[in-house]
Amino acid sequence: LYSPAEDAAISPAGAELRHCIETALTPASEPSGDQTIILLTRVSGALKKGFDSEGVLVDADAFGRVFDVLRAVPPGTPLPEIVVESEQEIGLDWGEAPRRVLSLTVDNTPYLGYAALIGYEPIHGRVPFAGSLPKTLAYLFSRLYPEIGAPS
Amino acid sequence: VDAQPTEVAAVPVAPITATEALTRYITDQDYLASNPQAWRAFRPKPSENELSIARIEELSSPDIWQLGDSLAGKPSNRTVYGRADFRLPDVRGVKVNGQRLDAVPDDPPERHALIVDWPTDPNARKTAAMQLLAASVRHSVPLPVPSPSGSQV
Repeated sequence: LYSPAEDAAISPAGAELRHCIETALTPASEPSGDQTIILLTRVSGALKKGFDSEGVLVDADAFGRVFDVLRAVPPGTPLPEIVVESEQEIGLDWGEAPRRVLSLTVDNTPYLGYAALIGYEPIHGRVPFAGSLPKTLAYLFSRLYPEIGAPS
Repeated sequence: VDAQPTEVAAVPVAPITATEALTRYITDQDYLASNPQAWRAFRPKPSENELSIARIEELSSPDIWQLGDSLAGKPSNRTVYGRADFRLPDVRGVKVNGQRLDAVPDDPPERHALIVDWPTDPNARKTAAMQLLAASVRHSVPLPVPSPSGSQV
């Protein structure tokens, strides 16, 4: 167990270790109250649209993972548009222009699908997701929103 | 003399040319303007390997919208809110996983065509749709012009 009260390390290695532990123990970023309302409105809209247009009722686990993903994206990233893609898949869409778009596919597997168009460069694939943002996605967010920058 | 059944000769459909105007009608308002989801207008359903488009060369603006209503609106009980125009090289310029998209005529109905050769991988399909949207020019359905008396025509 780590106890800050008993942490007397003064060496650079000890300070670095302390920083790593503090970072690991810091709760992931949560959306503000206003953002939560916007997010819930978008989730509700996506559910309604998915059912009305395609007759799709999405798996609740997939929505749970959406919130895990949103907690992992770099702080300051705009909230995405949300789309029900199938009964097991939810799409999260970010974008500033037709040639600056990123879409993540969240399902009930331990992977995230991604597709992006940055300038004239199309990129797509799947990456494992276990709560922290994979490097590939951190890179894509930094290309999409350079003013926010990649997470540390 | 027994009457012979009359055979109606099929009129060959002209192939799509490189300079011909093509369009994808948009029936979802979210896919207009600068919405980050706009590329989804070009995404085929996961169960389908083709995407409906229309050949609009030499049509007047009102006729283009009328065609949209008959091809994409009424048959599926939807409203056409806009369209995204492009040409054949924009389609063939999309290459994903070594595979190029293509567009082929699909009469009937008249002026109907398809974008084909979609990759099977769903994420690859998304990037293809993103590239098509980025290469196209979007138009919204024109608003009715108000008459001088204030009532709309």
